[in-house]
Amino acid sequence: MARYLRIPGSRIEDLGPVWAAYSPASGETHLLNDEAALLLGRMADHGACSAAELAQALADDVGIAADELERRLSLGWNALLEAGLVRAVDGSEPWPP
Amino acid sequence: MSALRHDAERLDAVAVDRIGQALQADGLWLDVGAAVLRVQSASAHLAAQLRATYPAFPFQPAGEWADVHCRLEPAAGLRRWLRPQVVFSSDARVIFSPFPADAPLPLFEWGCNWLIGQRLNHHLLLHAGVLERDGMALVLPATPGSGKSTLTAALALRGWRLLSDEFGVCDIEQRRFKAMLKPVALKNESIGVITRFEPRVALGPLFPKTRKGTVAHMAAPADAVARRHEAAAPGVVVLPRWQAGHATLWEPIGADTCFAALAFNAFNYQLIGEAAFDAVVHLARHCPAWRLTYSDLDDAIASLERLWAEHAGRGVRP
Repeated sequence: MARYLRIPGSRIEDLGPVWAAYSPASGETHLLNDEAALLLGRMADHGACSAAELAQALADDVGIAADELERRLSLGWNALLEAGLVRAVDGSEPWPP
Repeated sequence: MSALRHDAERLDAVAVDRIGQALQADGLWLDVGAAVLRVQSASAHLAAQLRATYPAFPFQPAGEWADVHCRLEPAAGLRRWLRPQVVFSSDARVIFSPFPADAPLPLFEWGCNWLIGQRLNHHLLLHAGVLERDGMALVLPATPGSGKSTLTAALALRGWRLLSDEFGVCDIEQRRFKAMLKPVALKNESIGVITRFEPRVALGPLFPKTRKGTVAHMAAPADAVARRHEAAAPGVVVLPRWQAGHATLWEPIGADTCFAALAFNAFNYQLIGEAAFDAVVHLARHCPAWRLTYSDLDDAIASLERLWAEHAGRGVRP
């Protein structure tokens, strides 16, 4: 199962309808939707995690079943990976890196 | 840092021959606020063209420091006799294709702008016109066809202090806008628009058939030159869009649109990285912002004056 780490030093700021996120890894800025921002924001608390684990952690807060939430957030992971805001890690990689 | 000052003598009070001699010697040093430009040239035309478009700047034939050093020299080879051209170079590197020998000014302007965009990375360089009133900056980010320069020129002719037509120079640490006071480059239809708007406007020569069409440069007003070292706090952001026949329309925009307009049009945003991200987030969150669609300059400016009176005080204080 893929696990993800938030890139250390990445930043996210609320701009109303969208979120501005900065990746020190790529030097790029991206505008994120709420789903991607929710994932990134929660990863700061959870360290390396799988999509299922994060969905489980968020389920109570947002009032949606974990499996449904994981499905809804699946596109957010791709956005975060492509933006250089998270990276996939192997399960044995220590945290913090 | 700034070059030695010889503020007593304005460029338009100096004979063209003397400016030409300076260009052929140690160069003409132009302190434009956030940067100092040093230009050397043997061009027969450049002295008069600089005199017409930088009239209120001090005549500085020597200096201590310049951010940009450039030369404009006649092209060598057969073309020198068949079709004389002028070549722009900096640090012995030729930049851009040559221009006709009688058109060194647009090459100087574009070449210097390119060098400034490459080198002044201690400031965030937004692609925006910037004017000041009440100590606050009105920021006009550029999008293609926006008419940014036309509106910037018109506002400068109606008493707004011009800081820049091309570079919105944001001091990242102080969060204030500095001047990059170069002539406003007007293109094609906007030349006629501005001369009708203000028949007494100080325009340099017309340069037809450039890669951007016909170009003319509006000189910065004397007050703007005298105050080019006064920074301005961020005030209001306006995204202008000129549209033929359109009634003046103001639409408030959110921080997200403002952020994108500022960050993604900047010259060196990505190069500066996180500090630029912080600065633009700060501007986008705190500056009231609108999109302005207009066709009538007088009406647009009158409504801008009203909007400014109402909202400028809500801008960002350092």
